[in-house]
Amino acid sequence: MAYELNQEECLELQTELDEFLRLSDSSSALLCDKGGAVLVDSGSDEENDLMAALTAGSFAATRELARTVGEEDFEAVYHQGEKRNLYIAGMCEEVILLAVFEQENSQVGLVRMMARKLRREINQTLDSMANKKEVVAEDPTVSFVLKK
Amino acid sequence: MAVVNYAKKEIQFKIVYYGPGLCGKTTNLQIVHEKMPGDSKGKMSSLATSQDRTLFFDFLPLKSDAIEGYTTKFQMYTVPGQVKYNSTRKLVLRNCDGVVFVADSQIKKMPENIESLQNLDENLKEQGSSVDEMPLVFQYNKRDMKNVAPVEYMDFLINNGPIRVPVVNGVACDGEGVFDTLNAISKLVLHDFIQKKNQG
Repeated sequence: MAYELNQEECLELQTELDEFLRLSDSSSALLCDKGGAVLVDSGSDEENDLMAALTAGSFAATRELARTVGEEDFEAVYHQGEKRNLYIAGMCEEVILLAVFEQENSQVGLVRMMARKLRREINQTLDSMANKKEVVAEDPTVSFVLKK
Repeated sequence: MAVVNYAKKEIQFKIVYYGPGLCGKTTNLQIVHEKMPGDSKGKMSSLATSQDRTLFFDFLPLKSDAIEGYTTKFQMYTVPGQVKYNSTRKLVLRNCDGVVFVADSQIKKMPENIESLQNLDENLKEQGSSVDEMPLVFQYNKRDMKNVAPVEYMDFLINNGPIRVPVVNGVACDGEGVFDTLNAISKLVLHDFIQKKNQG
């Protein structure tokens, strides 16, 4: 089982994430899957693999907490720091957004609003990714070869 | 499940170290992190209790150029081994591409090994997979301890499925068998991916 991000989908997600970063005044953002794999990032790629792994873990733990208190899901998780804050929100069944924003540059209300806008904008792309049931190479002649 | 990004020419795989409590899963990752050259590894992160028991997971990203033309990333995770953390284990197993089952070789730990392997199978089945389908390597760890079970006996107890799972004997705290295990699981994961992919 694998899922794929072709050039077009990657460009679409990247463009929308860059726009989200600009509109929300965040310092960095990434989209990852619920297994913790980075799909696209914007702003900074420092320690993004780790950030994605922890984001997926944090979001999954929050979802379990939601269910424990009788909620189907929590839309988002907000971590407030002294200078930096994190906003984590589900974009669809499989994809999560992590936004990092500075206390002095932005506000959680703005980030939340822009995250909702982002979800609407990338909905179709995420749907088409989720519906790829079979692994089909972008170019059928593409083959993967192990290095000797 | 592997994530292929054609735009970035990047493939990501998720490998999970599974096994009963205190069998050496975290130690495996620590040794890999310690001995791997700097440019191939990222920062290792452990979500542990104050007693250094894994609470959620350990995480270590590795990078290689195993597939021509693509950056291949292996995201290595461990699960908490303690029985009570099963819901956490399920979360960590999500979208995984390969599993290393670390078994404790001490004879008194055999029931825990069997229980943990059954638990792995149940959790994989909930995700539509199973130990028979998932790329899997056994590491019989702690071979330096007193009262270890013979390898044949451990095979009889846990490596008794339709396909014999590759086994590496190890003393993870001394680094013995750690990289053999890593090589074995990464080869299996890559072959599994390429086989499925090229069959199309």
